[in-house]
Amino acid sequence: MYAVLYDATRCVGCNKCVQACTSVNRLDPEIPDPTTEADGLSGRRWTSIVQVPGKKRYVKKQCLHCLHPGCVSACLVGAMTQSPQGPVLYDRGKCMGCRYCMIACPVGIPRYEWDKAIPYIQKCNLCAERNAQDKKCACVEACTHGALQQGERGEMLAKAHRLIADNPGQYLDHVYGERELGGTSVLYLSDTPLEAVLRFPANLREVSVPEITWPVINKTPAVALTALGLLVGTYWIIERRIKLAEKEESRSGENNQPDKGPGR
Amino acid sequence: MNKVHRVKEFLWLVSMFGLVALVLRTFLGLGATTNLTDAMPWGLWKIFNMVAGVALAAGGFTLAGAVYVLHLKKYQSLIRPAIAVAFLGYGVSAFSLMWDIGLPYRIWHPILPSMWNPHSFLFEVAWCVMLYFTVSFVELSAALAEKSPWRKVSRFLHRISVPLVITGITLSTLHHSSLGSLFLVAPGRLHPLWYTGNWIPFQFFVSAVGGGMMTVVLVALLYAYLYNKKPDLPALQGIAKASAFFLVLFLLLRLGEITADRKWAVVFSGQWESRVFGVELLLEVILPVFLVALPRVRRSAWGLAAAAALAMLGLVMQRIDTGITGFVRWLDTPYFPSLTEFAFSLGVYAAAGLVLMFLAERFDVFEKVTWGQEEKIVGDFTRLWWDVVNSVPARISLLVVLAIPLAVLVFSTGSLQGFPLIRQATEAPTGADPTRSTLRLDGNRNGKAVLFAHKQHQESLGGAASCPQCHHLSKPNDPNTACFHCHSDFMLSRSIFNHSLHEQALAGNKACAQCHNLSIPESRDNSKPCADCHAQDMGMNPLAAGRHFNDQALGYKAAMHKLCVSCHQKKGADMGYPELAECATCHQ
Repeated sequence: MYAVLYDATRCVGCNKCVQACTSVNRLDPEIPDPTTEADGLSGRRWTSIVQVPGKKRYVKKQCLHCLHPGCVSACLVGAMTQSPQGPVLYDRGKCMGCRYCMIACPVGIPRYEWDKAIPYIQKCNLCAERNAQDKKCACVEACTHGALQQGERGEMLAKAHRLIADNPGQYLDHVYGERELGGTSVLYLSDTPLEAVLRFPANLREVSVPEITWPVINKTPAVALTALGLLVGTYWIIERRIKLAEKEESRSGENNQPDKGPGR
Repeated sequence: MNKVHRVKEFLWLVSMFGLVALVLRTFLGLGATTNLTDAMPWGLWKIFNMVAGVALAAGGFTLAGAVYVLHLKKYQSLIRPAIAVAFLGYGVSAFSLMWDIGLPYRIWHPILPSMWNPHSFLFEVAWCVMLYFTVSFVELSAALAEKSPWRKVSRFLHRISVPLVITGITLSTLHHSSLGSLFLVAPGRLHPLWYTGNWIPFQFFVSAVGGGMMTVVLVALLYAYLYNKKPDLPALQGIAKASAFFLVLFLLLRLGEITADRKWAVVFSGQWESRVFGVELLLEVILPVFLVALPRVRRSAWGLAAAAALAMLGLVMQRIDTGITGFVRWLDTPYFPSLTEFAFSLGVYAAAGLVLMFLAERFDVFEKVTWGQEEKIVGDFTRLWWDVVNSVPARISLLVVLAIPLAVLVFSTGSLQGFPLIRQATEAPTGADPTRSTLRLDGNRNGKAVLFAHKQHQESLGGAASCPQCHHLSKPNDPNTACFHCHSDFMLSRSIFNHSLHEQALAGNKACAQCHNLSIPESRDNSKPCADCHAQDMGMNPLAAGRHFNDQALGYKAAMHKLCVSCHQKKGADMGYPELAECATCHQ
């Protein structure tokens, strides 16, 4: 389980990581990308560098690769999967383009190729293929300022906390992604708050999306059985009472014919 | 039958607009035809057609339950219209969804076991909707197949109707609630007035039951009005009262949720959302229940129709608020559907209306309608026009023929030109003020520029004579080409040599030999140097005759850095100002 640690205090915003990402993943490097949202991500950009508003600080936006990803739980055809090494991967062969992953991502990362007639989802895959060949992520390799590091998630967390302890006053005492959204594989160190730039939802601080949906959706079989039972039961009881009433009526009709008023 | 024709003509017109929208969406893609963005990936088609379409169709399973399970034979007359409405509502939903998803030809993917994901609400919805669509089709077939030679099939279908109905209700319970649970994933973005947590499945189910029954009421009344039949008013009143019960239950669920989740402050916060919420509750519950509660209104067809229409409108509004309006505050740019989106959405509903009318006329869905022979007017040549105007099929074909070009005309401003934003890509990355004292260098067009003191540099480097130090090459016949004309891409190098332009300007296919030595394989080296022809007009830094130059211009960023940074580093060291070469000196 590997992770990427981003140190916002070391990033100068040179965009070399973005350049490396677009060329390694063969994304269309045209700039400006006409589909780009305000955060720089788009169907042609898996990562981007944005400035913290009003501060001389940059933040690298990309898929955070949640440990309990909302997109994986939401995708109805299982096109989003999580590999045992951590990366959340997208299988374009399965995708039917419903875009529910875009709704389900708590930080709004997956992007769509809106300008194409046959569109797919685009998002960072944490260079899973490169890592399988023992290479580092393209962005980590491209960073010349030591703002990006990669390693085992536990080691990266330990490193982050050591950096905080060794450099008092230089960092906020918080590693973004350690617990947010149930933990992510991309970790952020910073001296200014990053919640707003990373768009961590205020009411979903340390809860992952599947933690909200699973307790509801796992009631489905129980609800189905209850509904089925109630319906069959109701039908049977009413049907039986009608039959009994008919029988009663016919029997009383035979015995007490005169009791019934003429012409009903 | 005149009003029937008017309605049919109108529905044909609307559905033809929808057809044009469908064709445009198929060939140009979603970005070109809709206003959807990465921040608002679900729009009118998903919410109004799929989510609301299914909700409006909920009357099918409700009435089937009332008649077959609860044995309420009073509503027997409404069962077929209700099932027809259900089938068409699910048809609208499935058809719209097919064109809303990016890859319509993969709509069947959820069926394959290798792609199942039981963790997904959408997976559950997809399966239940598929199955219920099939169930409603089978239930409807029982009515449609009554005519021979299918009578045996019909008899069999009637025999299995109770298990079918019970399956249908179970499936409906699941997917009507899950359509609400779909939005459980968006706690950070959906406005708290519509993100109701674990209440949402109950609220969606109960409101669908209430609103779905009202749809049956309105459809039955419309049928009676159009075909001059007598509506089964006592049954319709019963349905309306039952619907009012469920609508009130929905209101109680909402009030309970607002109280339990302590959201009264949000309701009275004065945000525009709270006003939308008020209107929604007024339309969906308060007005229809009030109308149904008044005996005088309830007993009139018009009163019932008004109550039903309001409840349907409110139901649709509630779905749209949950799926669209509730997200607006989170967006940087608010979403409003495009013309094409509206055309397709309404077109699908109009087409469903036409199918319903067809079923009503040809089959025993409502009751048998017998058609008189259409009176044919045989006129002379001068009366040809009137023949067209007076004959219904001709009039409809005329409308269809007229509607398609009209729709294309209406949409042409937006959709026909492809994805609209692409046209903005050619803007210059630099903006010069008329005096050229300071240039804004914004290579990646992100609105953040390096301010380059152009005049100051020019003066300190030695006036007009120094221009060629930076302006190393100009385009032919352009005395002062700016950087971005060749270094047009931020990252990539770009060829600045326009081959096809030269080919055309010289002599087309015969021109090759004018520049290329045809005996050597194609490469830049076998080509004539630019300066052989352009020595005079290459601007302020004419190329030496015979010199080849690289036609691959560097990317904008690389070129600027090569030119600016290297000079800054040199001068900074010479002058004792190393900070002159630091990034932040210029990139502020």
